[in-house]
Amino acid sequence: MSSQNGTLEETLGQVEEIIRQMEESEVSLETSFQLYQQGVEKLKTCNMMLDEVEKKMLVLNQNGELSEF
Amino acid sequence: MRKNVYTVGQVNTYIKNMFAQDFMMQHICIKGEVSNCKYHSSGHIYFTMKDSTGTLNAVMFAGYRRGLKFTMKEGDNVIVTGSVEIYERDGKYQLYAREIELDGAGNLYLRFEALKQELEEMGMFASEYKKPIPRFARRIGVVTAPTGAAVQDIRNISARRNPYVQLILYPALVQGEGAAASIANGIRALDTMGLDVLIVGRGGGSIEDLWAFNEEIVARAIFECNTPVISAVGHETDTTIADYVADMRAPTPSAAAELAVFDYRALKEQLAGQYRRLSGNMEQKIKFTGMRIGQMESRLHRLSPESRMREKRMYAAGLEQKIEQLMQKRLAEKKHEVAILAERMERLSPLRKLSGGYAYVTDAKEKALLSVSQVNCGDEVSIQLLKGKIKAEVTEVIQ
Repeated sequence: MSSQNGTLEETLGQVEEIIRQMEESEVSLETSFQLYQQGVEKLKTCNMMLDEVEKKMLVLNQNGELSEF
Repeated sequence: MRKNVYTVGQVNTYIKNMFAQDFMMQHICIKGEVSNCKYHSSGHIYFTMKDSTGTLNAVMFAGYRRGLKFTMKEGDNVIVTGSVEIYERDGKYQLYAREIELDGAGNLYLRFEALKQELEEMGMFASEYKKPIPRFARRIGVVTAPTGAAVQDIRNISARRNPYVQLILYPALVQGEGAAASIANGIRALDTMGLDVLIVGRGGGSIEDLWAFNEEIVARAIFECNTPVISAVGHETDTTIADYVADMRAPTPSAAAELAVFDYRALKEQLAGQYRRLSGNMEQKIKFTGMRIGQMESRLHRLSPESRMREKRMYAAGLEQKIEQLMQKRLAEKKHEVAILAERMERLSPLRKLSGGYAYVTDAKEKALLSVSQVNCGDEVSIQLLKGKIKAEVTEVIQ
């Protein structure tokens, strides 16, 4: 789990970096296309990482079992 | 069968007498910490004395105020001399204070300071041991009481910020006997589950209520926990040992939930914003490149032989037009000059001299007659008037 968190945070950072690079005017159109593709892919990954299933609070009992709170 | 039935008053009076007959209850010194201290407008002082095991209601009537030589306030450790009696109206016993003195520094406070110093010296509060709180926690452990406001606050805030985060509660005892061990067990149990972050805490209460969070076993459990821990004990103003050891201190359980649970909508907006920036950038780049291509195209076109020829043709046509215009202008000027000359000539015309009745006379050969010697009787002459001409015959010549 925590490695995935890292990835979400890291991926967001990477997207920021890609945008920063694209904002530099010297970047060629070809490179821009590549950067854009990478950025869109990474954003898709970020969205996928957000597992959108609503969670109920769980409670851990003395035997180490989980049940709905 | 009920034999003896007593009224409430009878029982309360009976108990009151029991206390009254007890010599010790009539003159007793009690030490403890002051809480709920209220100075009533009547001059009476109502307060509660407490220690880690319990509380005792107390009152100092206005008539005994000289027995209090300082301004008593919440948290003061005092020794009260007085009597313990029954207050019949409420069926409660209370301490009637006659004298109140300060009792050095508070016991709980001393214990807190001693443990704080000890743990600090061991480096348990050192910032290099503080683990960062993950920005995007997905599974969050909560060690708190299963009843009470704290767990509900955490649950509500979490659901509002991000319903997709999994909360796992370890229902702990947070005050009284065994609370510290229960909290420590909870931290250790949740630490084995590989969660992203733990919230350890409880809602507000008196210093005694919060005491478990000042116990060394809780401090150690937090320090040894591999999962980052956010402490959330009581209110903003309460600081416990647990707060010093935790990786982050939240002022309240609600605040802890705000810190631990990332705002789902904000993240979604951030992602959408980044997508917009990426696309905007790309679009701009494409537009800019298109514009550059267009510029190049027109520059190239301008340099083509066809375009140069056309340019020359246009130049030539321009010249032609200019010449024509010049010619027209010259002609007009000349016409004007001629007109002026004509007018001048007109002004000089001999006919003009005939105005006023004069006439110009010529012989038949249109020769001007200046003398009568030039004509004989019977000759034909022409008389030019201002308007028109007359042919006449000479009938007489007068010398």
